Parts: sequence; C-alpha cells; structure tokens
Amino acid sequence: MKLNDKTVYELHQLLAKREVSVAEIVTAYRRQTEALEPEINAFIHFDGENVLRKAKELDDELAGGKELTPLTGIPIGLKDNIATKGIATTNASKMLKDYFPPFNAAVVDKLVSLDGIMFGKLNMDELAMGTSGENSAFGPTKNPWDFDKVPGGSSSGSAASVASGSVPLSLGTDAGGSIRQPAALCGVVGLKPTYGLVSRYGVTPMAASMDCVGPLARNVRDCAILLGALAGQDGKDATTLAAPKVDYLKALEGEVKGLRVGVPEEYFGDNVDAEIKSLIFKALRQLESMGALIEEFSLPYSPLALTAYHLIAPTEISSNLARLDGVRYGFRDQQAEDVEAMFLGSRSKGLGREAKFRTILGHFASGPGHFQDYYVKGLKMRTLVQEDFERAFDRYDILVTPTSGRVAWSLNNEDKKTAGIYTRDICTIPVNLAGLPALSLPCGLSDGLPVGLQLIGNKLSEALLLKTAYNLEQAIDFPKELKGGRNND
Amino acid sequence: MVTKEEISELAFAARLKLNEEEASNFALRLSDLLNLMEEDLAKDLSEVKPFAFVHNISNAFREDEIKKSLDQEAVLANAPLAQDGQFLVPRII
Repeated sequence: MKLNDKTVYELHQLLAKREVSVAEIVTAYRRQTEALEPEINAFIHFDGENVLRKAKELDDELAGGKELTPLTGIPIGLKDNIATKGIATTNASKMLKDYFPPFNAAVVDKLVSLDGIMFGKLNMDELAMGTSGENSAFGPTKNPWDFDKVPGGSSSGSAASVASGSVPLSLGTDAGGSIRQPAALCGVVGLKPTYGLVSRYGVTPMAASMDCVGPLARNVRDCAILLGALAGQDGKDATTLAAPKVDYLKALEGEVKGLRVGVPEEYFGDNVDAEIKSLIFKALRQLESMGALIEEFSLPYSPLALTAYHLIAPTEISSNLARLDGVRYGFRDQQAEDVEAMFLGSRSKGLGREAKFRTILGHFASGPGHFQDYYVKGLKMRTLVQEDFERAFDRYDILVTPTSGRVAWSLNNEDKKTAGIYTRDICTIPVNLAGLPALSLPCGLSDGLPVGLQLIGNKLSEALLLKTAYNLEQAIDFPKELKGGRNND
Repeated sequence: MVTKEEISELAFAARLKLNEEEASNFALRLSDLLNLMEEDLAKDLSEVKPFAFVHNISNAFREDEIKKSLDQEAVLANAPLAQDGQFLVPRII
C-alpha cells in the first residue's frame, strides 16, 4: 500500500481499522527519507533503526488496547532548534554541534504524549537566521521541486521534508517568515500561530518578542490536526496565553460566505512578481465566487516593517546569542589561554557569518549613542505597524497577500552576502511585528515552482484562517504528488 | 558609510573577532542596510509611543514552589570542561 502520500487523517483511519501498523507507516517514510536525503539534505539527525523500534513498541501497546490519538504513529520532523532530550540539537550551528539537551521542549513532550513519532531533526538556517536554507553548518537543503533551487528558510528542512513525503508533518519556527516562506517555496501549508498560542519552552530564542513555533503539512486538515496538538498555555513559557481551547478540525466545516477579505495594496508592489500577483487575484476571485466580500485597501505603515524588524530583531539576537560563550555548553576554543580569549575564540570560530552579522547589527542599533535613534525608533515604527493592522481588522475578517514575492531562487545567488536578501521577507515580517497568526497556502505554479498565498488573521483567529484556507484549497488545482523524484512505497 | 574599523569595534563589544574579509563585507552590508533605512529613520516619530508587547496582558505569576532542578551530571555532560561539579574555564585573573 502507498503510504507516503496519504494524509494524516487517512493514516489515522488505516490505523484505526488495523489495515496498517505503525511500523509499516514508519518504514514507508524511512525509505523515502533514506532515498532522498543524499539529494535534499533536509535532516541533520535521522536514526532509522531507532524510529522503527519506537514504532514497534507503539504497535505492541496498541495491540494491548491503547487508545489512538489523532497523531498516534504519525512521523513528525522537528526543526533542529527544538530541544530533544539526549538527541543533539545543533541549531545547524558549529557552536551547538555537540549540544545534547537534558530536557525536551514543551512541544516535544506534548507530541510524545500523543504518541506521535519524533522522526528526526531538520536542517535550518543557523540559529534560525536566513531566508534560503543555505546558512547551515551542515550544508544547504535543496528544494524537492528542483534540486538547484533553495527551499527557503529558515525552516528549510521542515518544508523540504514535508514536500518530499519524508514526513507528513513537521514543526518549524517563525520570527519573520521562517515557517511561511519555506512553506510557500516548497508548495506546502505552513502556519505561524498568534504570538503566545504555542509554548516556546525548550526552543532556542532568536528574536524573542516575535519567535513562534508552528506546523507545516501537505494539506490544511493535517495542519489543523497538528496545531490542535500544539496550542495551549504552558507554565514554563510565561508569554503563552490563557486562550480557550479551539477544535480546529471542526472549524474547517464552515463556509466563507460573507467573509470580509481585505487586500492591502502595499503587499503587491514591485517586489512581487507579476505572475504571483495574478495567481493571488485568481484565488481572490475564487473566494468571491464562494460569497466572500473582497476589497482592496491600504496598510500605509506596513513599508516601515522592514526597517523596524532589522533594528529590533538583531538587538534581541545579540542579547540572546550572548549565552553562546563556550562556558556551559557548546563549542569552546580550547587553545585560548585566558577567559577573554576563550569568549572571543569560541564565538568567532563557532558562529557562522549571518549570526555574526546580525549580532553586530544588534550592537549597532542598541549600543551607546544609537539606542534612541535606532532601536527605540524601530519600536515606534512597530507601534505604527501594529495599529495599522488593528484598524484593518475593524473592517475585515481576514487579509490576503502573497507569502513571498518570488518563487524559489537558485542556490548560491549572489545577493546572499548583501543587504538585498532582507527585502525578500517584505510580505511576512509585518505579521510578526504585530504578533498575528498567518498561514501560507500553495495557490499555483509560476515557472513550474510553487507560489504561496498568505492569509493573515486577527489575534487568535487560527480557526478562521484554517477554514478559509480549507475552502480555498478545495477550489485551487495544486499538484498533489510528492516531490523529489521518488514516489513512495 | 560605516568603516571596517567601526565594524571591528562593534564586533569586539559583541566578543567577536572578524577576519579582514568579514569586516569589509559587514561594513558594506551595514552601509547598504542603513541606506535602505534612511528614509524611514528620517521620519518624525516624536509623538509615537515605543512598542512594548504584542498582547495587552500583565505579568504572569506562579507560586514560588521548590521543584527538582535538572540533574547536575546531565547538565555538566554538555560542558566543554567540568570538574568537581563545576564548569571549568581558563584563567580569569
């Protein structure tokens, strides 16, 4: 039986009817992973024997009468900035290559308690800094649609592994677009939840006032299943919200008739390719034909978001990365003769280029003489961006934009080392500044590569985002087959 | 225009030592970025309040209970050097 292209819900039903075992599911995904890894490099850690052993143990427990959860036996990949007890959590950095956390992240404990199979640790841009998946100490991840293209970042392995059918579900993190942009470039569904909906305990902080953990999946229903498992307040993360529990699967059943959809003109500028714009407007016409009310409008302060982000995020980064000093864990320059030389040597040899640049940028923006003129100005711009969205949600239920202004670009693109690459996040960053939820849905192909449509909702409107995405998904003709050249067992 | 020397000073403050190539490239990148930001930074924002937090919530408190902490041996297992239950570092003074 072919298993890799089944949805999570279908796998669950097969398990419930005893038509497949967990070991069979895991074996199918293991074969796909082992066949594709030499090309795609989506994983930093994968232990096929271990996951199969876990699967067999679970099969024994099920035979003994253990109840199924919606995630029982489902392989789930974890971005490698999510702590796993006793399994290296490298953050794709030489600095943390040998870091074995003595605890699990809260989201890992949750998924394990639901009998999900923790399938492996996924490649990423180092310490979650990047938009192409190329800033990894373990080599770049390739886009399963075209091995010469980037998968996007920073959750590069999370998107590539789902697109190729190496896992049906994965977790990523998103502080400026790092779930949604790779989801768009790899043709999968990615959701950045409301800030505080999902616990970040045990997740390496990058830009802590924006970091979020969220699901990636091949379809909206699977995404809803995983979000339902992740959401909830956690005493170990004081920023998590006491939000009422929502049945995201039930939410999918609703219609979009009467939905007020705002289309902000600032997200359709010169940075967005014409074909991408036309695919977004095609999807908007489909929403309209389902009874949604579409209106173009302006979010005048959104263009300030890039400047605000590149002052605020690096400031938080430089503070967060100060802990990587070679004392308690991580890489240490053993040649250093005194402690000052050890700090300098460990950080300079352990951190990659992008992490160094952003740390320096943070010191620039928040350092002596600059704090008021740069960092605080960035905070003021952030206020304006957030208020812009608040006004928008007085008039609209949901906003629609492109996720990325470009489809996947070639590896080793020359602007990797310049400031130009920062403008790539222009559609995703404003959402993080305002702490809103947003979902990227595949909406078509341009030059044979996937295009992502972004749905932005008001705080805690994940159910509405998922319902709208589900309705659109049924209307959009997007290729369903797995990518990467090998079509499963 | 940010100079290579300014970058190296910032780097030292962040306990980073850059090679020549990194310092030149970062000077160029930071200059580029500041150019991109110039117009936004010139705006008069004196009436705008700096952003504080995404949600309108106050502090999250919990009971101050004594709980078991992480196992000392497991924590020290990650240390580059450890001795007698402590992290070992090179000479400080």
